[in-house]
Amino acid sequence: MAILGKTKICPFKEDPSLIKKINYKEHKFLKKFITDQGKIIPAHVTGVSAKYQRLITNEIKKARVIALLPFVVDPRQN
Amino acid sequence: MKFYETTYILHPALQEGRLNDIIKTIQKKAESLGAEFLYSDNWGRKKLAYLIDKEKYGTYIFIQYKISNLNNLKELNSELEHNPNVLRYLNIKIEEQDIVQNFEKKEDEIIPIKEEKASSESTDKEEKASSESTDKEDKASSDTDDQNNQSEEDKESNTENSGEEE
Repeated sequence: MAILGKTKICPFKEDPSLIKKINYKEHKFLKKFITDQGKIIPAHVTGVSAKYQRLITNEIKKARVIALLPFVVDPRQN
Repeated sequence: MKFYETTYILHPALQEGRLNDIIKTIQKKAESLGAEFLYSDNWGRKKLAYLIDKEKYGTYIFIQYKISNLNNLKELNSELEHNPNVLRYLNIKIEEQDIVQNFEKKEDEIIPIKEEKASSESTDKEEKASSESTDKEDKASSDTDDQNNQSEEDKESNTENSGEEE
């Protein structure tokens, strides 16, 4: 988005109540921050500030261990 | 005393009686190791994001406890590791404030949302069916902010009905 000249505001600074949702148990919320292939979307795309991007990556990695989120999704399987 | 939470996935082929037995045995082992249980929850049968031991589904069990001795925690982990019914487990250290205390409140929070949805759906249906009854209900349930919109809707519904009557 930075290339287009549009600045995105961090969703957690807009709505601080979302900070509680950064937890590996809330895998449906964390799904917003991974691609269809299961990769973590970089912060410069989503606009998340560095502080919360650090938390999100840690929680996504926990959710992957307990099979709530995928490590990889092969698009050819579906 | 340090606080921990553990989620573990049990084999999907287990039936209810056997499942409860395994949950109880794990709990007893943990309590014999000095763990004090603070919260436990069964998330039920869920689809796994990827295959574990060629299984598509698993029942998730979530427990929170406090334990003083680190060696006891390691022993509990090794028991989960060597239990053939446990597909996967995750152990995380938490703060005291993260403990789920009032799980009844969560249920209370969920119920009114459903009621709101149901009431909105019912009002939509009633608006289609009959205009007069919905007008009364709207007046009764309307807030100050919504009154303008609803009055507009009422006008629209009235005009529609008048057209139908004519």
